[in-house]
Amino acid sequence: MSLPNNQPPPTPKVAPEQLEELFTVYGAKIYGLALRCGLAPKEAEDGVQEVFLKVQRRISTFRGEAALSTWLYQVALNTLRDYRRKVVRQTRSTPMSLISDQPADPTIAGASATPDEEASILERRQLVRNALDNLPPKFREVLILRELEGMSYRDVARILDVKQGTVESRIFRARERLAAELKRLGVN
Amino acid sequence: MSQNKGKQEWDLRLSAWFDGEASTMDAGEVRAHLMESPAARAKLQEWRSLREDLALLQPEAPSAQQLFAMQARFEDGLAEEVFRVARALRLWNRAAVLLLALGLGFWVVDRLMLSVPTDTYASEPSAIDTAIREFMARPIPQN
Repeated sequence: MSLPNNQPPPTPKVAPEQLEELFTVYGAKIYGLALRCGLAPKEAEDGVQEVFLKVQRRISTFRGEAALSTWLYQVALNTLRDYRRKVVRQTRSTPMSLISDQPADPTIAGASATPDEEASILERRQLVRNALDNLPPKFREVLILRELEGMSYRDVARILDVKQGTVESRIFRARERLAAELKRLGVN
Repeated sequence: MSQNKGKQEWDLRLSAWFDGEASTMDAGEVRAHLMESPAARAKLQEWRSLREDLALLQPEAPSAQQLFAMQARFEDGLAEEVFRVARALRLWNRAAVLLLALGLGFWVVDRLMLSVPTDTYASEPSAIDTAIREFMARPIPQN
């Protein structure tokens, strides 16, 4: 039986056990997103907690029009944005990069690098983090979703609730802004 | 002016191609453009370098122990939230029952005790009634 065009699909019911299952599947991903958004590990854990409690409160608003993961990322990004703002306010506008000390992926930092090389990588990472933090949120978020989460333009558009064309031009402008910011910070 | 617009359009197409989001036809045109334009090739190189820089920010995946701790915390938080909602509901229920009982009590008191008509005025003559009666009983003076 098909639904009439103007009728939304039925809202799925989610029991607490299913929420726990949702946490099992997406907990690590949302934690990674929190770190990529510039939160320190401890704050990221708190952020994940806030995200899933919000999911629990808002699950009834999920209409099933988009994939559950898209909806979850939407809630997560909004919650983490607010949480990040709160943390920055509490630390009296300390840039997130100064309190974020999460370890980078060792495969990227180079496990076999010499101490000098490692220090240079860490310094560069810090500068990139600062440059990303200095971007306006709309550019920072689009870069995180595309470059760090590896999402398609279509998914980014759904999560940010904008048109795909907007994502396309925003990513381009974000890259331009990031390149300029890195240059300003002296990164070659 | 139109040259700028044209360059911006190419940059956008190049950016989409760089992300693997260009259509097959568009991809062919972008590749041809790259062959002709050193500026486009330089831009592409700049974006590759940016991508490498951004990859430095990829965090380490959380350990199983860390995930377990987070899950336990979430379940505690969930239980606490359910408990908080249940407690709030219980308080509201008690307040509603109390309010209902008070309202019912007032209504009963009003109906059974306060609004019973009293005949005090009719059965016990007041001082003025007595005075009027005395006045009426006085003999009429004869002129």
